[in-house]
Amino acid sequence: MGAAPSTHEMLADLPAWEAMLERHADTFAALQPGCGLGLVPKDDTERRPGRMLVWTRAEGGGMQAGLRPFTGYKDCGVDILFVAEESGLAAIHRALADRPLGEMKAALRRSELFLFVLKPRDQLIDDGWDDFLETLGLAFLGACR
Amino acid sequence: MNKPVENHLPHLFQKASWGRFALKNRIKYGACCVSNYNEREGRITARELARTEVIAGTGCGIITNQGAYPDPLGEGKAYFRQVALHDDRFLPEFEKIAGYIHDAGGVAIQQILHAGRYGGIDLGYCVQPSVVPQTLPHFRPPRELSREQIHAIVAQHADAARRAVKAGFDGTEITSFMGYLLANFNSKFTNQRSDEYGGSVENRGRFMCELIDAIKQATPGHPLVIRLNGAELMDRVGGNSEDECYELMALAARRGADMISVTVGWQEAPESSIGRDIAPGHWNRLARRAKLMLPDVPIAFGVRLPDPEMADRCIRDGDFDFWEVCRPLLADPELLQKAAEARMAENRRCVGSLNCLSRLFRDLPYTCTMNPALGHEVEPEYAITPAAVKKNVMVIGAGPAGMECAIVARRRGHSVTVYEKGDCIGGNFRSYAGLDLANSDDLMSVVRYYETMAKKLGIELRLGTEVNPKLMRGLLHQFDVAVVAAGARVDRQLLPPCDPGALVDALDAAAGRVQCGHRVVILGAGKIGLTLAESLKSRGHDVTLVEADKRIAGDVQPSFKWRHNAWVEELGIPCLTSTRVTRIAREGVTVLDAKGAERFLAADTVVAAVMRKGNQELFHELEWMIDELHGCGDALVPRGLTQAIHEGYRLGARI
Ligand SMILES: Cc1cc2nc3c(=O)[nH]c(=O)nc-3n(C[C@H](O)[C@H](O)[C@H](O)COP(=O)(O)O)c2cc1C
Ligand code: SF4
Repeated sequence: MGAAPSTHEMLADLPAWEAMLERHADTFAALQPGCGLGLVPKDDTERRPGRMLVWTRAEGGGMQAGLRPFTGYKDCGVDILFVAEESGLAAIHRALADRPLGEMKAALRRSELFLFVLKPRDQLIDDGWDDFLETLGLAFLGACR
Repeated sequence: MNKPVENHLPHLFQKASWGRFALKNRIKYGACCVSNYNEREGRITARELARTEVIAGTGCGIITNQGAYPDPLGEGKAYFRQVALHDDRFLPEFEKIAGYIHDAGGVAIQQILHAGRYGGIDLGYCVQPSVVPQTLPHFRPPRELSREQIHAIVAQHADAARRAVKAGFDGTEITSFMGYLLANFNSKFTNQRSDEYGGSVENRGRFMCELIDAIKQATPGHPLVIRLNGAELMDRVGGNSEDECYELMALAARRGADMISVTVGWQEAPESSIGRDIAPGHWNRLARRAKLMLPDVPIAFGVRLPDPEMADRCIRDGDFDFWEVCRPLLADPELLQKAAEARMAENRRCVGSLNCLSRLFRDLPYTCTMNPALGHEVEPEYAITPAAVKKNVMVIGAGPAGMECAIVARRRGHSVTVYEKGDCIGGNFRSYAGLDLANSDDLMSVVRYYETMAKKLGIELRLGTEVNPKLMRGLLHQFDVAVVAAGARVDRQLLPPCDPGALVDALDAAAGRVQCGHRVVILGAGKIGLTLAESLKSRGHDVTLVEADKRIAGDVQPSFKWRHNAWVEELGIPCLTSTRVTRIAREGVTVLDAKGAERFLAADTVVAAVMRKGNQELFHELEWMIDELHGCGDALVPRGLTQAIHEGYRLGARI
């Protein structure tokens, strides 16, 4: 067995992320072109610029994975942002070929992954994020429990 | 004769003083009433006033009126129809509320609630100390407050407090509960400022200190209560540690807060704070810590502490000074009377359904599962008044809908007989309640309440008696009214044909009428399938859920969906969603997933927990046998406890 990949190597493993997005095409089927989600390792939220993995809906349909600098919450150019502890990112990366969304859900619950929404709910719904948020059990999570 | 108040729960019902106020007991009604009953621009309605009269009548020594937002723009507004206190034009209704509280012998406190991160409901943005995006889609994108804006907000709080006192309130309260603006400044999660309002605990607490100073100057001689978290439950995501929460509490006390109400959690905290899955008394340690740290400051506490006897013991042991109670008084406004008179078996316990709060977050007026009249106090139709014509009523089915209807009808003077084919009351709900992992005792309290009230009111129970046309022919002309509250059953027609005896009804499995084998496949992952699966799995069965829909928990109330999702994961129950059943046999089921792949799931028991249909046959069969025929609850449309209780009540109130 080789050494565990570094955070950067995990983020940059674009073919594996894209293969996963392809397999979960249904979950993102309603997304509007140009909509995107970012995933930033926690340490990178404090670096300028940090590194951010983005999943975006291409103009012609389908999801693409890419890397972008993270320059802060204010203008990170995505609709939804995940901030991941290294352990959370590693768990999701390990599960890429298996149940990555299930692992994201579990990491959220373990607080190894944290979600920020950068658009209001109605806009997220209009843009087609409903299925994905529901899959992660997030749509109405919280709010006085 | 009722027991004298002084002898029972002596600490809770002890007279007390708070500054210049003499209090009739040590109970504070917590601001548990952001209601969404009011006008969109914040004016209090007749509906709210009628509800508040009930609150005033609960008998608490201190009553806190719901949080009003203090700014004209509505940046502080958290709820769709929240009350406003930024202008004198709102005062006449506040005067009435202060009057109700005083008439009932209570001390009146007005809460001022600027929702900060959870505010700006009509604006499309919210304000915060720093731009930290939302974690819940419900809330608005944030804008950072400038120093000038902070000063203006402090002044708005002081003005609102002055107005409250002008309206007759004895004091005011500010709140950081659940992550509102004060909490946003106090917490390192949302306060990442580098000026004098951010950084150290002292700096983060500066906004709080300025609020305390400004309000106290604006309302000299009138006490100020401050609600502060003992635990934010946000520490894992960068919020304050518990130690920091207590440093802030100490700071508030030094600055002159007249009472500290200890609370728990933020809306977006990754764990529960007030749900049914939190055991009563779970957070008491937070109050104890506050009291130990600040022995001279009155401490109020009550989060998930629904039991007056426990509260009495806590006061006796010096854990806190005032029991701050909220939802238990929504569920039963007569709780204190019943507690004082040792009649707790007649208490309608808050079952932690969170129907109240779920509705607020859907911009709907809040209602209570257990108290169908809540929010309808202004409507005479909801009052239980003597019936003009006394009738003989038969209720068919002793589930919550039937029992609720029976109790209300009986209280109106009708003579009531309940027929139940099972050997106890509670219906299908009883089996379901017994399996609930969150807090089975809370749900079972509903059944116990019905048992107590049936006995007390003299409702005749005919258990083990199935109503059918034959029985009815023998009863002809004995009853004026029949109410079909016969519940629902699993709709097997939604499933493919199956081998004889291969399928067990979820309700039979839940009631223990059928024992499940080791390997169980449950068809349907709604609340019944999930509850059964969780219970079986935690008792060692090997369980798989099959759901035709894309998601599980479709019929579960919004604020509890996550709970089932979490249990399913924690317990390791495989859930096959978007999966159809094509064949059911004694050895297991054949299923087809969304991609068309077929597989066989071996099982010792296959349980049907798909959609239910109402037991409606009696509507047709009894039609020509009785003067009035009505129905309520799941027999009409299968839903859940809230609708069953509410429909039963409404029907009982008008027969
Ligand atoms: C419908 C509802 C409305 C509430 N409104 C307020 C409010 O206006 N201000 C506040 O500080 N807390 C509010 N709360 C929180 C309660 O005051 C209380 O702290 C919480 O419900 C926990 O106490 P309990 O277990 O006795 O209900 C509200 C709670 C409910 C259920
Ligand atoms: S709706 Fe549920 S949680 Fe709210 S007060 Fe009523 S019983 Fe309690």
